[in-house]
Amino acid sequence: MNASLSDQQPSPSHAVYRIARFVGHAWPQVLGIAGCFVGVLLFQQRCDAQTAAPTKGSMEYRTALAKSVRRAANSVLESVVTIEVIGVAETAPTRGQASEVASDAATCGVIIDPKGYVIASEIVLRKPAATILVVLPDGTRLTAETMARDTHRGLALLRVKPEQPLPAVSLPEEIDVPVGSTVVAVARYGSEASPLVSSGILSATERLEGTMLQCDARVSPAFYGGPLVDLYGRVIGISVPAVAEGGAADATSWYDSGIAFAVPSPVLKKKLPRLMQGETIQKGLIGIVPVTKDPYAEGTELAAVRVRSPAERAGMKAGDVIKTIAGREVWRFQQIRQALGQFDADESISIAVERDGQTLDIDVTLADTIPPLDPQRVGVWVRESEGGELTVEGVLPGSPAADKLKVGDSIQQVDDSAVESIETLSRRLVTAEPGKAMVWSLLRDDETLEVQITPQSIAGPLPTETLGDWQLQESDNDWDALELRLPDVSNQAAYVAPEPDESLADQGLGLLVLLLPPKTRDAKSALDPWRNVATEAGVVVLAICSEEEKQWQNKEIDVVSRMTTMLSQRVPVGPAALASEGALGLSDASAADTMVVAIALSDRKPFKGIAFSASAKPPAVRLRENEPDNALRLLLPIESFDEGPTWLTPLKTSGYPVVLGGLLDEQALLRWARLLQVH
Amino acid sequence: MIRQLLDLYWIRPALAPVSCRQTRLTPRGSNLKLNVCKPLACVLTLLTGISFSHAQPPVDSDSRAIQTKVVKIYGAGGMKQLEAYQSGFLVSPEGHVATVWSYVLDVEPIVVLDDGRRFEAKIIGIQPALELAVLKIDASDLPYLEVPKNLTASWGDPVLAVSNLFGIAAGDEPASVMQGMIAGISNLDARRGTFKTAYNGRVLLLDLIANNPGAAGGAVVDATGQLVGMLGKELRDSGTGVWLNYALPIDALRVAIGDVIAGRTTTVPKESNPILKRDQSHNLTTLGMVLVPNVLESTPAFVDAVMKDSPASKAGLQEDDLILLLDGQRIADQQVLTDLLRRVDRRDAISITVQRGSEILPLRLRP
Repeated sequence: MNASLSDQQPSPSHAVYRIARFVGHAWPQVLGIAGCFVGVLLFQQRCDAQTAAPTKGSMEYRTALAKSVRRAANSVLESVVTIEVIGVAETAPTRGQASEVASDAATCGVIIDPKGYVIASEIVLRKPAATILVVLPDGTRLTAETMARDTHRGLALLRVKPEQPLPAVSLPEEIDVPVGSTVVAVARYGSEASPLVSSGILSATERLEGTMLQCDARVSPAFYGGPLVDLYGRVIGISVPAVAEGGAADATSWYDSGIAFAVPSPVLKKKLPRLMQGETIQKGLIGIVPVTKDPYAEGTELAAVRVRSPAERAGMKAGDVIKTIAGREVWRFQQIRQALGQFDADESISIAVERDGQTLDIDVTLADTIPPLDPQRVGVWVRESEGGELTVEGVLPGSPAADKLKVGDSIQQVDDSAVESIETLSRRLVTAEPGKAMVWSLLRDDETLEVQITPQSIAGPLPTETLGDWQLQESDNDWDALELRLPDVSNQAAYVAPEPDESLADQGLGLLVLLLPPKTRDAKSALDPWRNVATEAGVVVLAICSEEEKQWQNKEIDVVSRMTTMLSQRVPVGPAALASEGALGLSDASAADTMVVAIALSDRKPFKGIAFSASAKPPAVRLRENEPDNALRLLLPIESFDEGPTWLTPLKTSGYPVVLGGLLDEQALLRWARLLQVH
Repeated sequence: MIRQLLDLYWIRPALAPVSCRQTRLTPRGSNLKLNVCKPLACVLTLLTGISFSHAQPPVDSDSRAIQTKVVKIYGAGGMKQLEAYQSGFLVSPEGHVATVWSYVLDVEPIVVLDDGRRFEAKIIGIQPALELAVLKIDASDLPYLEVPKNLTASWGDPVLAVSNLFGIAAGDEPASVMQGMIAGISNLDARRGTFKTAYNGRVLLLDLIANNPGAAGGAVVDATGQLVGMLGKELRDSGTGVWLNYALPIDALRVAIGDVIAGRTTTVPKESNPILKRDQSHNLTTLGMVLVPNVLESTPAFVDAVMKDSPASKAGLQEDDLILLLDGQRIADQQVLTDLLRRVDRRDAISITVQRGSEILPLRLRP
């Protein structure tokens, strides 16, 4: 807070505010040189304290802070209303997704327009209800109409018809409250609409992909929809339930935890005209695919642009390097996400990209959906040299690339833009338009040539061919089964793999991670039937037992990931496949099948494909879209899509290609696993 | 049957939110593991590196004084994830301890003072509707918290909550001091059955994560060190379904505490009343009630059946009611009830207090 502000605002007693600022601001800023500054402040406070009895200072401070908190809260309380949800249709909670919060929990709202517009948390619309009531501070109950919702930030705009104009808060155009400032969450609670406050400090801004303020006030569900104010009583945000991605199943799970979120007022103010017109606001998607392996790495070059996405419509192209988003400079994809946080579907933003050494300004209108992925392949196995050169190592017989590409070809460009890594090639193919020919520029025997290849959907029947070198090799000397242990977990695991040897790296071995049914307790002997076929197929098999005899638990997701990573560091293998024994056509489904799906949907980083039984029970995890930078495919032992479980349809429409394995046996499963490295 | 009774025994007389408790395996506020210690440690290291001699003044200098008045209470529990401990605070120099009435007090509890002295305590008064119990230990000249006449606190006021949450302190280790403020003052809204408390008056909602296992019975004081409330048992809010942080306001407890200390409502058996002849005294048959089979060493006085047209049925006693008090005296088990009835003339009316679900009801049985 700066001096000019205190001139304009009705100011809390200055001495108090100074101390409040000290306590509020100092903690997070005590870093590096800031330390000296704190020293000075502390010294100053000590002098203040010494004039009174040595301990009286702190009491005075706390009492005065209480006064300031009350003053700040009082300045907005007349605009804080309670929202009652009446007659909620109760449905049995889905396992694992049950919320602690009652489905008709009373929450809060803020009057933002005298005509009767009230902003509330979207939680009031979570379940269909007979009616929603707005309870004014004087106890008047008014029926509310839902005008619109902002699903991106979790807000709902309600409208009541009051007899007199209602006292509305004003939302600031911008907020300059630094992190560390004291903030107060304000609400009304109970049958008498008693004031309810919780104070804390502003912990961070632009959280959750640039959408939220974060504070450490104890925000419990009664506060949702209520205002977050600073000590001057300015509304800086609206409290909403939220958790970080993957943090918890339910958005309310982090109540009272020291981490609470609020939608910043300036953003709400900007969105209000749209909401007041009844427009639903949704997260804005753009459809760009990065070259970098993870969003935190430096680099904003595009590996691909999604088909029929806003980026494609605006003319963005693979190879473009993004420089600024809405005037904000960006260096990493994570910053791009952050910058997009305050924009929504149907809003236009200006993006500066660098293409062929020139900077172009492109206007992109964000969309609420992008057609789901339909990952494509051409059937080529490539190797990446250190200089970023891709060389063809093998071509799958019967695939679109057969007769077009030859072993030894160096891939220069695909559709006019350079391909310098396997990831980029993979992302380009995953997002390729089905049925549309791609132009591949190659260097063959020192000559440049172009070939046209029309890719093919990964979804569909399992290819029966494999690369020439990868045919089953008769073996007299099967690979050994060895135990694998993590120091801190009790899960048993074992793997069959060749003796370490430098030549292994060139062989393109596959990796299949097999989750055993909970009743199987001995991983090593479970591998006996796999040793010979794994050796012949050239696929390392890792079998993992559950921790407990009865079940696979969610916490073991991490165990499976870590074991997979550990093994791929020991033996040079291609991308990993995850499967259960239920994937084999003649086996029954078990808890392991459900676990395979759960792992793939929650943390699928190490896996490129999963195989499971068609009679597996669906796991209780949130479904997310298949993403081009980490695309996953599904293999089931079925002849046609209709033989799969009903919950396969939502997976398909979320962009997961379903490979039809038919009566799958061990050999076919391992062949598929090894072919995951063929694009 | 015994097994069933045992279940009842642990769940029902305790008034504890058992059904909720089983879902609650982690401490409040720890559903998210944030390492707050590290940054704090950084700050401390940094501060010590700066050249000034005094540490930051404490949040409240009286913290230590309040700790000396808070006691650790150990009793029944230890099954079904129920903690066998809670907190309490001294309200007289002669060793009267106010605490919450809970399953921990199903046995005569042990009270450990701030200085580590250990006493076998007597439960001398309970007020089920307030969830209050007053214990007495045999000691004198103890530091204690004055119970004020009025509640002067309002929302926004800073408070300290002193309790033995999570049983972290033992022996002469002092109770834990936490700071926060009064978030609001509101009636508990008992519109639905999810409330597992008999108390439905005004509470102080607290802006601090106070109501963790073992904290119940802890003292809440204002900035001047004056008592403003007693931490309640872990409780879910009926309105939202989530855990509450709250304290019972001291003005609601004052009269009950005073009455017990003054001996007006003691629940200690009056041994002066002589045992009457069997045909002159009351018994279960004269009142018209049947209790559940007395198969345990200490079977709670649950009503199994009520005779038609009997004093019990006229008074509205019902099956499954649990008898808590008889003429103001505590019914620890069926043995105590039958023994007390032997001392009441069968021509006299009796007053009992029962628990029905989470309700506390006074009933008068007239012969």
